[in-house]
Amino acid sequence: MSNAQLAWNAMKQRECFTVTEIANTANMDVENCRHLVKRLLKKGFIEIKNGIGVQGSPYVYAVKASNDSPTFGRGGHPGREIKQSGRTGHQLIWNALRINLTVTPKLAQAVTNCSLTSIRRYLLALERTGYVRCHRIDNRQAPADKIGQEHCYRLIRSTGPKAPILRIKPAGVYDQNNRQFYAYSEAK
Amino acid sequence: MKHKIVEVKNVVRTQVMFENLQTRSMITPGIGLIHGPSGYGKTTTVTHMFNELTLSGHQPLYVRCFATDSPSSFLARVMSELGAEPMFPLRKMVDYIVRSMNEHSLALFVDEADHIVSQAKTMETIRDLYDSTEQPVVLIGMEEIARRISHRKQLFNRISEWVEFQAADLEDVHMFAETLLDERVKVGEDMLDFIRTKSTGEVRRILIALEKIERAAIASEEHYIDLSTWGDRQLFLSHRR
Repeated sequence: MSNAQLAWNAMKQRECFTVTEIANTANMDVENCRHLVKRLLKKGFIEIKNGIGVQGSPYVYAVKASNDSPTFGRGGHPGREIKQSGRTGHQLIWNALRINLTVTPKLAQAVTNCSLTSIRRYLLALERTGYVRCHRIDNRQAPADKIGQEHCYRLIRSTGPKAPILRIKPAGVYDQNNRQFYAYSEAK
Repeated sequence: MKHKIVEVKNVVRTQVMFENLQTRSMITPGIGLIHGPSGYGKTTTVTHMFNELTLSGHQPLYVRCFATDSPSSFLARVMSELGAEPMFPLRKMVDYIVRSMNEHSLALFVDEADHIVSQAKTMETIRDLYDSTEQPVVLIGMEEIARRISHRKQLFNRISEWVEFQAADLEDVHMFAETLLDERVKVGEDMLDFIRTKSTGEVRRILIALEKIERAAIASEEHYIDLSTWGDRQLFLSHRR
């Protein structure tokens, strides 16, 4: 972990801080620390709480209540971490799963207006990557006895509000919530 | 059998509730309450409305409460919905949630609210979130929630819209049959009334009965089914015992 990251962690742990305090905690040069603090202030991660910025009354800073973190070092490229907008059929199916916990393809069709083929394909992909567990009906039953019965998909890994995205190469599912890729072969 | 949402009375009432919450005037409070016994289509209707909002570009926050929830765990669930890690002290989480809800105009759905209705601090936190954002907040729970929430005057006064899910009546059953059944199959009024009585208005059981009738009618090439043509064939699971 770089000094800047150590300093940022130290800032987050305190209610308020001065440049010198952080420099001492992160074992950093005071001037470098001052540059870091100015950069964070400019980008809006921290704010001035007190002080006038002169000897004897230095600026007192505090980390803003936010979950955003600054990036340190070279910026990474998004690569396969590309996200989807929320208005997709898969998002609607995912919503139905999160709210109902157990869905059948027909229920999902009623609340999403997606095609049954698309719903089944998505649910199967989720099953193969361990998001849902399928309770299949007994196909040996007479057709009359199967009325009202359907394969049920139970959500067993709810990672957040964003729907996992299907990936073709490599085959699997990319989770936008925890930024992890689950390959089909890894499913248990 | 077709698979789509039928706009029966409960669904229409819920749609009206959402419209009213979204288009309310400044002086009208914006907390909604959906309650009713299980089996009446509450969750399916809420999912439908949730998806409608998602399609309109405003995916709401959805939080399911648990019996063990505290203000801290409740806020952590909302944070997780926003894709953020929990922050401490709690006021940081409240600030973050308020800011996010305001910035993105996010409504908040609180499901299984029965679990937290007796916890003063969690309910006051929800009231705080509403007061600071004025974004619609929808509480969803079983039939007892309305009575229990009425003890919390501060919150109760802010509930401007509520829907109590009720058992399907004959008109609803008629609408289900009309909308969902195959065009080749017609069901008599006496049969629909029989279904409504035997199912006690539970939507799930009504749909199973209609599907049974449709399959039997298509298999035997009957186009009209009423009580006399149906005869003593089984329609509900309980009859088999």
